[in-house]
Amino acid sequence: MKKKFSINSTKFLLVGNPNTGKTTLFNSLTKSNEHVGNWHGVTVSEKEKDFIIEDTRNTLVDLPGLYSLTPLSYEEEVGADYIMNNLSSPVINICDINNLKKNLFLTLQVAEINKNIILFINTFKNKNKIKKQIINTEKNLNKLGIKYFIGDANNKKDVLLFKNLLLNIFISKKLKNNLLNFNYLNNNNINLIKSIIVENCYKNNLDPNYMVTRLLENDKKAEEKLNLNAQKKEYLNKIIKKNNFIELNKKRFNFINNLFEKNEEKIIYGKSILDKIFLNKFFALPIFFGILFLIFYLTFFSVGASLSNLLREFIQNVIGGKFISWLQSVCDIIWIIDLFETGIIGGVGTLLAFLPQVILLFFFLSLIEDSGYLARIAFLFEDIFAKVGLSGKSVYTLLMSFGCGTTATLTARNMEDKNAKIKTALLTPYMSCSAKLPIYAVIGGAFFGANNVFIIFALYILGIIIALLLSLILEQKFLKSKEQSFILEFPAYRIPSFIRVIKILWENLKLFLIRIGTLIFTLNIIIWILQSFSFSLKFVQTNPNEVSILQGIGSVLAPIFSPIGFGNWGAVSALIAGLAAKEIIVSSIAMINGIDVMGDNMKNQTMRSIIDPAAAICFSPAGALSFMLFCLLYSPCLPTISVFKKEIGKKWTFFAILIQFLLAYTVCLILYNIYILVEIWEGLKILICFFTIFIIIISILSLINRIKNKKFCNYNCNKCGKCKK
Amino acid sequence: MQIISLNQCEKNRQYLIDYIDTTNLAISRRLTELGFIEKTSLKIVQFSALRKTLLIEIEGYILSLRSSVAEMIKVRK
Repeated sequence: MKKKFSINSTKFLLVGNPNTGKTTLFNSLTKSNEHVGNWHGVTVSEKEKDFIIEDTRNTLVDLPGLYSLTPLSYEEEVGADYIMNNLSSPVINICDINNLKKNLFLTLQVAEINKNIILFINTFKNKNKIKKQIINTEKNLNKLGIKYFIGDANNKKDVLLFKNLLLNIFISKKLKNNLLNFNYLNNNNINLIKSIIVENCYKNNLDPNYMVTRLLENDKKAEEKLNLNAQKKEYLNKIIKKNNFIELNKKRFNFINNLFEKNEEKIIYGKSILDKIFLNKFFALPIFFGILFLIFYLTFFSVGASLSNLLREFIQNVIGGKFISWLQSVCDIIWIIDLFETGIIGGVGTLLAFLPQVILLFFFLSLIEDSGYLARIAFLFEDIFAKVGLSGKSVYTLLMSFGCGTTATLTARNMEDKNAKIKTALLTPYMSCSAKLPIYAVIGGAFFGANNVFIIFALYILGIIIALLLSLILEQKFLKSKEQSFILEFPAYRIPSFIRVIKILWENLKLFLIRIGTLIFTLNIIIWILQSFSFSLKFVQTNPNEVSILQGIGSVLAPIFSPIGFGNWGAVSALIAGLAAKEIIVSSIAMINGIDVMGDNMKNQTMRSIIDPAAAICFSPAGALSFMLFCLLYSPCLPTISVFKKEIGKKWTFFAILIQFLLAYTVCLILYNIYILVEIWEGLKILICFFTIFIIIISILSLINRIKNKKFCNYNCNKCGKCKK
Repeated sequence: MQIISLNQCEKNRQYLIDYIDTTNLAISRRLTELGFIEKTSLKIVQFSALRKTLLIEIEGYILSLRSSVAEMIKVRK
């Protein structure tokens, strides 16, 4: 029986500081799975969803995290504007029970202009564990006069109780919100200001009450929106002091502080003994690199590789083998069999087998984000980032790029500075994404065997270093950042919740499968067609004198790539295919070299084939390294390019692609020739020696630097003139 | 009583805020919105390696600030 819902639908706004559990509450109320993260900036636009309370259908809007209604970044502006345009909608203000004083500032700002507000005090854990804290919180909030609910946004029972409260207050209106008296606003000439601006407000579709508080906070942007004439502006300047916001905010905090007992037990949110290790002067960076290396090892080898092999065997033997045998028995058209065998199962199957490794990678990334360690990483690298014109906030975007650069670029919207946002976006392709994972595994694995873990690690690090250098150059010449604030709250460490992590994995699994099933599948078939048929549409396998379309195109371009070690048509064709999506590169190699789905392990076959000089695509060790590097650097994939166009504009997108091609070619040219030289002198060992010596030198230099500074200065002001302070 | 900028302060010592330098309107306003107002007590928990970033403990939570922003916060020694 379908439930009938009453027509009256109320729109609720979900408002709160970043990281208070808004999206968790949103998910719980609407039973959806929007991405939750322990890092502010994860919700980048409003999200609206219906949710049901008893027999009423309502809408819930999840807004980005706000510290105040005066925005500093684009995402905050979105949130603040939405609140202004929906002042008749009730607001659910979510607060963190551990950080109430700071959270209540936004509460006051919103309550001043929207009386329909209710607080959800998120406990983040079972209420029974913090009974004393809850009693204290209730004592304090009862003085405030706003209706509130204390509970865990993740707990079904709590959320149900909260829903009932919403029903009674806002929908059936059985309970009333107390009238709030903000006496600190009384001396502020509010009515006078309102009368000055009311006309402009109505002309520009702005709410007068909202605009009055903006003006009292010296919000210049809001003032511009009013389009006041010179006379009104002058009048306002006389009434409102230049730094009125200081007085106003002081009064607001005094109001908040009066709710709390003077010497209340203080748990410092975000403080942890663990930081003595993770932020330790000497151990912090080694620990970070150690963790990174561990992630690599687990993903590319041990766990990841074993799972991938299992899946690969399943695809080949169970699906591939049986299906192809059946197909061969009912159909004798060669190209159809080849399409399924090489094109679909060989091509797409090779990629599907990497699923466990991709998922593992996302798993580790989400652990870092969810546990709170990400903020520590941002802190550790803030200094370097500042020098190259980025901020610690870029860390999240860049870290997520190791998973998928397209979705990561979208998170850059939370950057306050436009140039920093563009720079961050431009750098995401250098953080080797998960689509390139198969390339390193297969090609690297063929030539470097057990040493591959170091090669892959070095490739990732090289990508990061190049990105930082690029950012430095951009900062100096083209994209200077304004002074950015970089104010970042430190979240508490938390044990990542099993449910949360599973949800993230499931999300990424879905995305991966959809991407493989649609874009990659289609591209694979196109590539298969191009490499199976000649220009006159004859099937190449049965007409040995014909050359496939792909070979035709590839051969023309191949000589360009000889100086960098892979001047054969197959490799070049794979690269062209890779422009659309990086996953295609490995499946192209598998298809072009022709692997037998019914034969030995597909990955091993592919690896053996690229060493075989007789194969269509083959490499020398130097060429292989060069090819992997080229794939790392050369161009963003199509989805990323389209996101770039939207986020940073056509000009910078074009710039990004151009720079990547030039950089890829140059770096590969240098490295390939160095490798050739080095090969003559016992190869890899020397390379690794150089790398190690390089790192040791850098460490010694920085240690010397630190000791030098300590010797002379006791005052830590960083202006070291060996002062007389 | 001397008044100095926060980034000239020592680690692990309580200071009282005297005033916020309002040369940069947007950032100083954000600081006040986060609780950095007159007579609030705070403490530096950690400096970054190159001392360009500070970890501050204020009013029950931890915040990471750039040295250039910390300079706007004037405290009483």
